[in-house]
Amino acid sequence: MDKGGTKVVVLGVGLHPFGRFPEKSVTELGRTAGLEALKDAGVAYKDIQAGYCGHVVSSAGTGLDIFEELGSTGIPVTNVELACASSSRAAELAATAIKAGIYDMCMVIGVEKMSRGMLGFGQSVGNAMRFGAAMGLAILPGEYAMQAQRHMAIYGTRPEHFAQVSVKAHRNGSLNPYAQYQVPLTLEEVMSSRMVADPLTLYQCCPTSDGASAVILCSEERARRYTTKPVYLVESMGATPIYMPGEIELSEGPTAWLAQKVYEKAGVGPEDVDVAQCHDAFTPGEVLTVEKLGFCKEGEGGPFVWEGNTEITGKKPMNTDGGLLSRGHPMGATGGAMITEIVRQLRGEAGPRQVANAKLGMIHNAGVGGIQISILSI
Amino acid sequence: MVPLRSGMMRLPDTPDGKPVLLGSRCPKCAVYYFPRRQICIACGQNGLDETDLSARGKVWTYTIARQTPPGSLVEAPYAVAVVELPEKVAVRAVLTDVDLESVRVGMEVEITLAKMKEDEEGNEVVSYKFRPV
Repeated sequence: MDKGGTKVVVLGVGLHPFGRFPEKSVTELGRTAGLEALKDAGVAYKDIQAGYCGHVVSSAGTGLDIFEELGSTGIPVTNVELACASSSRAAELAATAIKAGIYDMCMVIGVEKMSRGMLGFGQSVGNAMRFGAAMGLAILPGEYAMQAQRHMAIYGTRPEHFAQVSVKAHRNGSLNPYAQYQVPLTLEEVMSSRMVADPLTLYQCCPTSDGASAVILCSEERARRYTTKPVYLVESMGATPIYMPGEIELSEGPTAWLAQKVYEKAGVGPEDVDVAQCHDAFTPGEVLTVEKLGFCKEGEGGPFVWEGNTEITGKKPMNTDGGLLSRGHPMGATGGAMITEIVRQLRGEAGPRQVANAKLGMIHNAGVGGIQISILSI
Repeated sequence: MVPLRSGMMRLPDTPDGKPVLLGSRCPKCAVYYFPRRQICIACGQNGLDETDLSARGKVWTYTIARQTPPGSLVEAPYAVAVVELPEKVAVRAVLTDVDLESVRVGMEVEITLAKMKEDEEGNEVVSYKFRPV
């Protein structure tokens, strides 16, 4: 998104609970979230001028299947895939069109139905040959586990620092009626669950999930018809890895670099962030990302999390709804769910999860294929 | 012997020899890449020289897979590492002939031929792993 152009408001948000719904189709999941967002926004489906559908493992044409559940008004529907960041990227595309004055109001629906068990990293999410699946190299938790091992070797981060992310996530999830897991876990329970890829135990890995999210974006001028307290999508930008000769980087994209760009464009800094969402597919996601977003110094993510700074009552509340770990992770739906929670926080509608005086929120969403960082504010 | 993935390594002449990883080297700016590629990302040169990469490197990071991932011919538990070669390239590989509890960042390792499976014609399908020096 560039400077200038119309401002973008997040007018409505909605979710289908995350969890296991074997009897429900993607269209049913998407429809539920879509209806909730329309009701939340106070608009009718006929007001939507373009649809964007974030999904990863559903077939071609899924976007239309879902939007047709809501109506058949001839609007353009686009399928957007960025693995676990699909609906975040879809929101950026919708916002860009609104900024350019092409549409006044768009809807983004994110959806996924997933089978159980470790994701075939080299099969459904990526190319098996390229990721060396047969060689034993395509271990999705392995990427985060390897980042954690190096972080421990260089900075002295402890295994329990990573595990604490899951303790907090599950405590927050227990306050979220849409979350896949709503049961708090102790540190002992997290660390003694079976090891998947050292140092990551089972409860430090997000589940596979079914679920959907929906977000309605509109122009600032249009939003005035419906609300006196708009929540703005101030900035949303994406990136892919930047090659640095001689340097090794395991993460999905240049998070610190992109965060800096987004802060500059939004005219804010890390000190202005009141509440955030980050990609905690596995616990190192939060420990490493708080450093890259500038919430603490490089190397200090472990103690930062351990000391409670990312709790709802902490300095930088992170993943207040349970995150990927506890809220769940239907890949295509997660971006929209991150936006949903930030919007609820900024509106003061987060109930027992409410962060006091939340005015500015930040979202970091990652996927195999790139990252997306967004800033929202009232 | 046939390679599991083509274009990654040169097979040794005998089953007890070492494979050699095939990399690219930019003739303009001397940056190395693995696996081989067409274009230099550092300077944009189109067309890179084929080069043999070092047999030894250091563990840049690692993890221990405790659950056999989908599609893997290697059974858990096993160590997988990002090995950094002197050419400043990163090679992901399974570590073999190693006590899992002893794997450390910085460990010196060398390449070795690994038998992965037999194909339908009875050929041995091989790949590369690294083992402690």
